[in-house]
Amino acid sequence: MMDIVQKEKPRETLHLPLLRKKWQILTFQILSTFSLLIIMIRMNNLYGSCTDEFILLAEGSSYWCPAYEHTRGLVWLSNTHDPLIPNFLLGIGQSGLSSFSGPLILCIMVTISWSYMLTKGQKLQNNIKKGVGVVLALWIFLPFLFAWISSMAFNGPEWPLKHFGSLFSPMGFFLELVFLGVVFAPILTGLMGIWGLSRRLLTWAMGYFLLVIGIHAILTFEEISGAFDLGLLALPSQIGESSMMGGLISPLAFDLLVISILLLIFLESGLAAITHLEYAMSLPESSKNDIEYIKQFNNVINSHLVHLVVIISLTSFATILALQFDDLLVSFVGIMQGSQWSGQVQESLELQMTYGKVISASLFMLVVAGLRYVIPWQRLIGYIELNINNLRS
Amino acid sequence: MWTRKGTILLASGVSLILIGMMISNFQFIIIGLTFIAFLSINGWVDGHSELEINRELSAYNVYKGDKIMVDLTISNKSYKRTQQIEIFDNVPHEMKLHSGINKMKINLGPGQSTKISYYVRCPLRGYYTIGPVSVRYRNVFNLFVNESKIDSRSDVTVFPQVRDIEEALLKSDVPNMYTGATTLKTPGPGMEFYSLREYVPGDSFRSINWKAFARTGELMVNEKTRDAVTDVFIFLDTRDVARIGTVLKNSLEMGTIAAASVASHFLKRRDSVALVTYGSKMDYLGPETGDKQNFKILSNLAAVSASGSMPLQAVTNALTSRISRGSPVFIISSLEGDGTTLPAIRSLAGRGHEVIVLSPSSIDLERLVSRIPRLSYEVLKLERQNRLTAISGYGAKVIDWMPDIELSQALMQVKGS
Repeated sequence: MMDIVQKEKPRETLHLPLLRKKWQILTFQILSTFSLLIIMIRMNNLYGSCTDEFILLAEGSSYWCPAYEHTRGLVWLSNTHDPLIPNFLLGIGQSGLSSFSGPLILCIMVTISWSYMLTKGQKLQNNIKKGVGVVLALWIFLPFLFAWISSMAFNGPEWPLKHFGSLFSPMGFFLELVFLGVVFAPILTGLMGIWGLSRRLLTWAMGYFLLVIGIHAILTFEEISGAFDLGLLALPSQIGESSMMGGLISPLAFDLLVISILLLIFLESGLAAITHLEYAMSLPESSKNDIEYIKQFNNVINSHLVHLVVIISLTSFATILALQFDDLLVSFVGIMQGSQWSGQVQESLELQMTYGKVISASLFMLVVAGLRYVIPWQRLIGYIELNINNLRS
Repeated sequence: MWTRKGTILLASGVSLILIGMMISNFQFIIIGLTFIAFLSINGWVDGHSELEINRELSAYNVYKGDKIMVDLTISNKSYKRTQQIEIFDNVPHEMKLHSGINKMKINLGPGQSTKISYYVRCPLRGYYTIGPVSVRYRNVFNLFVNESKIDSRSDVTVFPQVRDIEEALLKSDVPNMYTGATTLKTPGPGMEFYSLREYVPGDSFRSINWKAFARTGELMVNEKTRDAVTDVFIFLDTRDVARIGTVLKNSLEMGTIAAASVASHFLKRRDSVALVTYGSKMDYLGPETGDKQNFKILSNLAAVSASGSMPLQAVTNALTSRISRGSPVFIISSLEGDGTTLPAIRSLAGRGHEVIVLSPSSIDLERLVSRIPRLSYEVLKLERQNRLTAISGYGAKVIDWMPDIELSQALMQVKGS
């Protein structure tokens, strides 16, 4: 009887198809995707949405809605010609968050097709790109050529000038995409970045969100809105009373903080998946099957996940405390009762206004940064970890 | 050190806070503060390189073209987690990774260890050092990076390849002149009994003649006849011109392979072999036999590099007194740029030495790296042929060694006068 010795294969390897199904990688990607979608919803809530009431009032007279949404422009477009993309996919006829569902489906479909295309060979990708180019060119030029030639068949030779209009017939489709893109470009690029593993698209999406926030901030700035009012919903200039989380944060600050934290989660978890997959891809075949490499890959990716949760939580907490640090300072001064200075400081409005809040928050951040020299975090955690391991063994 | 991302995040954070303050926009301020808080808290976590590194190699002395397996064990003996660090074992660029890879991303907890295993191929002879180990701590979010080195080194000697030339030497003219050469009746390392002598400290206990000790009461040792039939002298040209050709195929590389193979062949036959290298200076390794001499020759050949322009005659003149009478002399040289080659060989042949000139064709080696016009090539080739013919006219056996010809094949085309 022949002895067949089979080399033991590790249960998991560092090959891309396997890694893409790994729960840690999927967690990063899902976390990033959810953050992206929640950012969109939160921004819609915060920067105003097109209410049914507004649409009812504006119907037929105004297509401008001072909100973070896309349907009004598309409604205007649909009045001039029938849109090529079905209304339910464009979100026309819906209001509020439900108007986002159609375009979101469109974005998801595009992302899936794009990611699928990326898994195929370079030749097929080139062929698809060429095919799309040819279809687009035919779509633009064929109606024009047909109109011109058929006109010449009946009327004799003529210049094609009067048929140039047909060259612009696909323009409506591109305009639909532009109107959709104003709101959904970061969503599409974000999704493509997360699932198509592109750092460039992820940073592009992040940049776009910051740009939207920036443009909104500038357009709602008193000096600008006084001269040129678009009716945009301006954020309050005061942060408000801290009434949430046991008086730690005001509702407005909380909403704004959620957006900034979600932006961080979206970017960092999206990049995490790409970084780890890139590393695995860079390994040669033999290392992808090496048990030590697999073990360390799991170590690295697990610790990344823990870091993401812990550091983002601490960041949120530190920001909340930083925003409340001015109150602490005023209360501290208040303890030293009796002196004229403490009374003045307590009654000082400046400390509780924007400048005071920002300066005190910055001071708090300095304290937070300096804590690394005060507490040996890592040694402490390492010691605990070592003891836990000893107990386990 | 801050990474580009870290710097951008800091700059964006500060800018957003300032712009937010200017236009009283709390969204900007809070995003800016979040960025700064993110950086500050990430600053609490720092990687470390207090690692214990142990490198093991499958071999420390290898022949050119051989593979070495490198096992690098990394242990975290501290009480801290290493955090995400990249380990990179520095391999000399002359060595090529064959399988596996010399880097790993790790995150070792206290007391944990891991192992990197990889193979390197050594396509170039020489002395090399694997190590030190580079450790790069990279923050999980790529905000800070810190590089350090752990001084763990392993020295590797890559000897020139030794080709089997026995069959070639049997078929060619070369070995005929040595067979039946006079046995040297001198004491030395060998098999045959020569004489008895008194024991002196340092003599091996194995060589003590116990019967003689029992008979005389004094410690006596057996002396053996030196087995070598003759001394073979190898002259290797390591002048600057020897670098003509590619990195892997040039006069010097071909010469070292030839010298190693010839030396190994004669040492196996229990002959004594001497090696002389000349370039910027002359190195002389006197005639000896045995494995130790083989090792010395290979080590010397591993270290040679092309430099200088010492003429052959200066070398032969300096060594005239040391070259044993009638010993065969191998000269391995491209014979380029040295006007003293002819008189030197004439002088050696005149003193009764069998001279074998193994000459890598530098013109054909030159052609591997640069385009030589056909006419120029023909002229240069003709000049070389004339030089070789002149040398063989002095009684030397000349081998015109083309780059694409194996050593054993080249040796079979020995041309005598």
